[in-house]
Amino acid sequence: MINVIKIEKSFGEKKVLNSLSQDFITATVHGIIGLNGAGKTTFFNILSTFLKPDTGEILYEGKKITRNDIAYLETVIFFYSNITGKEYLEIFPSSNLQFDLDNINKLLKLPLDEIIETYSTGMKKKLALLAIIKQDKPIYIFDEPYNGLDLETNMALEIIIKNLHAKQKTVFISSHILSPLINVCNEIHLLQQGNFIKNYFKENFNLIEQELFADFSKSAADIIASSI
Amino acid sequence: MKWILVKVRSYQIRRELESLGLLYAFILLVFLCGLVFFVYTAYHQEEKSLYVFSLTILALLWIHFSRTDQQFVYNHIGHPVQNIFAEYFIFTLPVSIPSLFTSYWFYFPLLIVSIYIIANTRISIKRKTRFPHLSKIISSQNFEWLSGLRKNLIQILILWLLAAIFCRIRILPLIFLWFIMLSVISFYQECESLQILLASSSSPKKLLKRKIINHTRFILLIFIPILIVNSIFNQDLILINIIFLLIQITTFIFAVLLKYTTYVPNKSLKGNTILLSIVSIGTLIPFLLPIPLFMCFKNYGKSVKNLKTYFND
Repeated sequence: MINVIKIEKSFGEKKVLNSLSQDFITATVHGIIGLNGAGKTTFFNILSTFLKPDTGEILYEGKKITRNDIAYLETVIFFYSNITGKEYLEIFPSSNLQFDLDNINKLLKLPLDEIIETYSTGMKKKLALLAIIKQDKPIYIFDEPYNGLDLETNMALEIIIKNLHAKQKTVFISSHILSPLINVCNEIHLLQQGNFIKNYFKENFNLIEQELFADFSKSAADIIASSI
Repeated sequence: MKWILVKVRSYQIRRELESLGLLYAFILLVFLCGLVFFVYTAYHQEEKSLYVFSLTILALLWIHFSRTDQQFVYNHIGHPVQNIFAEYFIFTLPVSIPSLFTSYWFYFPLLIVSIYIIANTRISIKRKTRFPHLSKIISSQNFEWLSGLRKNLIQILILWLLAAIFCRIRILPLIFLWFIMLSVISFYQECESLQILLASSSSPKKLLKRKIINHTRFILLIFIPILIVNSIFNQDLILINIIFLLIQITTFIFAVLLKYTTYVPNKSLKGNTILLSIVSIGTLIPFLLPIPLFMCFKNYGKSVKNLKTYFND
């Protein structure tokens, strides 16, 4: 079990996470959804220990979660200039003994001997994804992994996540597009104004869209019609 | 026409100056005044004025063909050519206006015409992978060197060959090595991502120790052969060569420490250039020699403290 206990985080005056508490079952794929500014990335940054909460703590199997428990694919990925894809991957520890770069690259088709500046946005995302899955960790976090991916890689990512699930890994994943989450997640959690307000299980995934956009859709049509 | 690019650059410059602080902004101003004075005096001589003009054009061509915002400017900014022209024109004024007060005033209109032609040219240099097999010699953990050598290998190689060719001559090889060191310290002006930082080591002290030891080996590999041969031919310079090597290593260690003192994930540390240049120039002036050593002591604790926030140590 991963226990998120009363996490609070503010940036200046702005409170992003507000006494956030939630228990997550391990060996499960958890989708995190919420509108822009709901606190998804801040939650991931704290979960991955890249950011310290103002108060509260996160426990993994009863112990304080550590960086060694987690592999984290951030939304915006930074690459050091003038190094090739292969060199970038070599920087990360190869703890996943099953990881076969040549084989998986037959699927992703990355020009690994070229410097990363020559890559497209989607190619950079694929490279960062490889760096994550070459590490064997109990918890994987994917923040907006579908951004910039082509259709084939979207499908490959779904297979990768299902594969991690089959290996009893705990996966957290966020996305602005609901459909890929519905395909891969066992549970989806709705984050709103810095707190988890609802959990959805497979059988009620169909309710998500109407509840997530309940307030928004009422006023949006009127505002857009009168503004553009 | 709105001078959008000039406005954007002025915002950027203002922010850079604010981040530098008053002292370094003042030093920059002094450098700029010195440059204007140097250009003014150069414009009094036929040969030197031609050099200044040619260097200005070459610099503009390099900037124009390597700028990454070309597509954005042409797609989204009204009157892109005029905007680029205005940008180049304004920022070359410190080197173009001095010519007006000399008999070589005609370089001023000539520069305007050249800028207009450059601004109208739409070719960009395609990024290519230079030296793809470099990582067979230098491991990926030393990514600063991989990246830096891909950018500067030819320049460093030329300087090293010049140092080797002039090995017999007193002091001259040291000057070439000093220029190599200038190039090497520029490798440390880009911050790696937090993922890479944390993958590299388990604690700040281990990270700094590993970087300093491994990377100093590269410096020794470049410097020692030249200094040994130079010392063989000029035996009275052995002590000077040893002191030079120690000072250059100290300057190099300072560059590493400064990077991690000011480390913020993913950030470019161009603001450190001025401080690094001052320390490097200081190594050429005898009474300023202790500066790099003093700066190393000053920055070691600071860099460990800064890194601790990222290691959650």
